[in-house]
Amino acid sequence: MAIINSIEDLSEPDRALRDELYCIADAKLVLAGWYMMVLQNGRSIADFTSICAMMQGQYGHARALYQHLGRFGVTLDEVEWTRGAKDIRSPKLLDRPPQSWSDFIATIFMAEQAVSTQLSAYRTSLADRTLARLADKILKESRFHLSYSVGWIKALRKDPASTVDEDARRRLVDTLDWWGEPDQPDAVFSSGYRDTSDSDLRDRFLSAVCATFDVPDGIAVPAKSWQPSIRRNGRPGIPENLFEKIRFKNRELAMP
Amino acid sequence: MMKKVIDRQLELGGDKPEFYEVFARRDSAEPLSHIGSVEAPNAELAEARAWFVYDQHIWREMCIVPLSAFVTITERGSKSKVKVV
Repeated sequence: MAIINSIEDLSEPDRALRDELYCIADAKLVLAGWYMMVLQNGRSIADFTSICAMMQGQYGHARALYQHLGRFGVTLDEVEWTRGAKDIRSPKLLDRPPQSWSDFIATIFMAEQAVSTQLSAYRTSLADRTLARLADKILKESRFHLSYSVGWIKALRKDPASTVDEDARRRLVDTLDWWGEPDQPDAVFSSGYRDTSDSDLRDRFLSAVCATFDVPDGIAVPAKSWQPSIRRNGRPGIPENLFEKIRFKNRELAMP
Repeated sequence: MMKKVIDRQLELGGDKPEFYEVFARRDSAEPLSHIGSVEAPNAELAEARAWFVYDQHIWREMCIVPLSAFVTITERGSKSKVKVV
């Protein structure tokens, strides 16, 4: 793949791939911020250590994906230091802060599952072997993030007063916003970068969720203004107060 | 000073301690060795906690066994347990 210096040089499929990788990497950036903010609420030393490791993992994955975006003319400087709240392309699911421990667990389950489902379609990519290997590595590491949330969901359910199922149902609607409406044009799939279409990935995600939660029939998101470049309905960007919490602040402390 | 009271259900996810013993090896030439234990209310959470807590090496193989699955030999008939739970 040739090195690109400007977005105007990109073909339509490359531009679509660049947008999608931005969305996945930003999902991981914001998810890392969630882990960072919840860290103090770790329920035991082992929990604290686990959240710390998942936070570190998500930052690492985000930076590796940002690095890969260099192939499309994106620089780390642009990604990490010049963007504002309106430029972050994370899923709507992560806009609203966790309301309780149970809501936190339900949300990270949905977010980890959604991002892993999307990345699973890049593992066989022949068009970009580096991305295929990166996706495979991220998926192997993320497996334990899912075990963590599934384990906590099972533990929370032992309490009859647990709200984890309601929290999950609420968060599921926001998660589905990431896929928009089924059967829309999908340049990343039709160009062969992904081996599965967005519609099928949405179904794959719902099947995976069904193994842990009851998914109501006919659940859908009104896709009034869904834009593939941000994988969202409505206006681009994340809330300003969330951005202020997750943005990198001290350039001199950042790793080169 | 107030003593911290741990709500086992809320903070640890279970109402009684459940331990899993953790075994790992770095390569296939090494024997599978006991590297520690984790407390968790189920195997999924134990798997995640073991993986994240004992990350001092890149393990080729790691597995967990619930302590309750162990068949003790030396402790049989003994008044004192080797591992007090």
